[in-house]
Amino acid sequence: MTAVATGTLLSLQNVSHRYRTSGREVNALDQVDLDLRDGEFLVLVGASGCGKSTLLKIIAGLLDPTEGSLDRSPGLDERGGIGMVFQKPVLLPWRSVLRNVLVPTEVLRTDGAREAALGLIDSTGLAGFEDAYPHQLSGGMQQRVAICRALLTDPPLLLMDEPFGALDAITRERLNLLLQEIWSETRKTVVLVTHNIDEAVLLGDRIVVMSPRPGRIVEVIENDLPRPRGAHTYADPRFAELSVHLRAQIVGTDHE
Amino acid sequence: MSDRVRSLAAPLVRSVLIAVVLVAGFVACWAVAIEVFDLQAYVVPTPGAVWQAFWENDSFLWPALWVTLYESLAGFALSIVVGLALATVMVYSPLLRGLIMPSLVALNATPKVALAPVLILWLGLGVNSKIGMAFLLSFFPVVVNTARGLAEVDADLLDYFRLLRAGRVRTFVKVRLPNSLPMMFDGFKIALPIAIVGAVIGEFVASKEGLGYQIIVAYSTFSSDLVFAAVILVAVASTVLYGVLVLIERLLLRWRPRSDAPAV
Repeated sequence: MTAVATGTLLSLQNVSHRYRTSGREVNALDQVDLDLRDGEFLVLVGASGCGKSTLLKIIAGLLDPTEGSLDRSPGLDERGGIGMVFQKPVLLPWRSVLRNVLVPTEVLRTDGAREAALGLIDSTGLAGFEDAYPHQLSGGMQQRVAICRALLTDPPLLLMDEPFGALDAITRERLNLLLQEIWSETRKTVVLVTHNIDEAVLLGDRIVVMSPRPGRIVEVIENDLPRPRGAHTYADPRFAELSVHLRAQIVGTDHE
Repeated sequence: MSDRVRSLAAPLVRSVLIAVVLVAGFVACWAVAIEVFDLQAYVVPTPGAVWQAFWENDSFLWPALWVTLYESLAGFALSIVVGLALATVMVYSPLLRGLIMPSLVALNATPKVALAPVLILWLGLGVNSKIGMAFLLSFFPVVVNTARGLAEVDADLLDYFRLLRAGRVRTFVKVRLPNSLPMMFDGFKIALPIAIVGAVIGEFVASKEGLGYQIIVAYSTFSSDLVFAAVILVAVASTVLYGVLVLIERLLLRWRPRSDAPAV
């Protein structure tokens, strides 16, 4: 593993991932090159099967690419250096909200995280629910708990795998704005996987468009819509322009 | 009384009331059936005769009950220990699971009751062979359910713990074990009554104490009233222990949504 350049958190060179299923070889990811800039909000968008979740798992270190190389800045290799939120909240149902948020520091055996956890719970609008069990919360609130848990170790990198995909449209928009707020306050690098084009345009600094079979990067779009973005952003002509362009790219690549 | 205690106790009170009504109805039908079909006392004793037989013989029925319960609970505890150990091995080693699971299925398919004489040959006439019998009958549901509970963990949750580099032991203690508790208890609820049946069968075959032994002795003197008294005692004790198990389950699994908690 070589060191990454200054200002770069992680660098992928020529990364491919293949696996065999029922005797057939699947090209989940094909020759991907990507640098993650320190502090950016990166969105991976594409139709299902384009390898965006596979790419996220490779970035997380949960999956080794079958080809290519991956360089990570030292901060990411520390335990708790990467926070992750999944499509399902995957909380521990037998633990209260507070004790769920405290899971990472408990596993890493670091003390004094209680105050930090309570602060996160408060800032994500969960105050008063510290002692509730997950099943007593709505899906959106459970996902807020998952976000708190991912942020507890104050990781430089936050990975999100379609975190709002299972939520209703209104809850999703609220959490989009909450996520933008967290990002602009903490300046963490965020990688968000989504198949929702509006979400991609609303949140991303850079939007990486991927196409399926084999999973490839077809385009990287710099999105300079002014921040903070919100309801007014949807009225921005450049928002419409970008989302029309993305729809053409993604919906087009799905009909071969 | 706190709300939590009340919410735990209310369904219990209701089930006890239902049980009382059911038992009263059963005893009434029993008494009526004897009159209607003109049954002889050695075939079916009256409820009154059974009641009397119990209190005339309670000086040895109670000690016999304690012996049987000791054997049953020891066998059940052994099931839990061995079941958890085997289930853990199976979760972490697909190879060993491939060896253990078919063996367990084959063992479960053999008529274990027929093995009682062999166990007595191996473990002697005392309590050990009965503990062995209780274990043999009860451990299959424990191991199968525990193995399922340990294995059926959300893949993303396991990924999350891998991301934290939690290690196998921590992941086991923090995720797999608590995750398996509901299913483990489902297994326990099947296993506990079977363990008691196992102990009684062991006593039937060869023993000098326990309720199974007392039932055999009572049969040999055609004391049907005493047989019924002993059988009912086993059934009542088994039901009470089941209730205790359900209470422990409710206390441990308070975090579960109410709708998931079935009544006793």
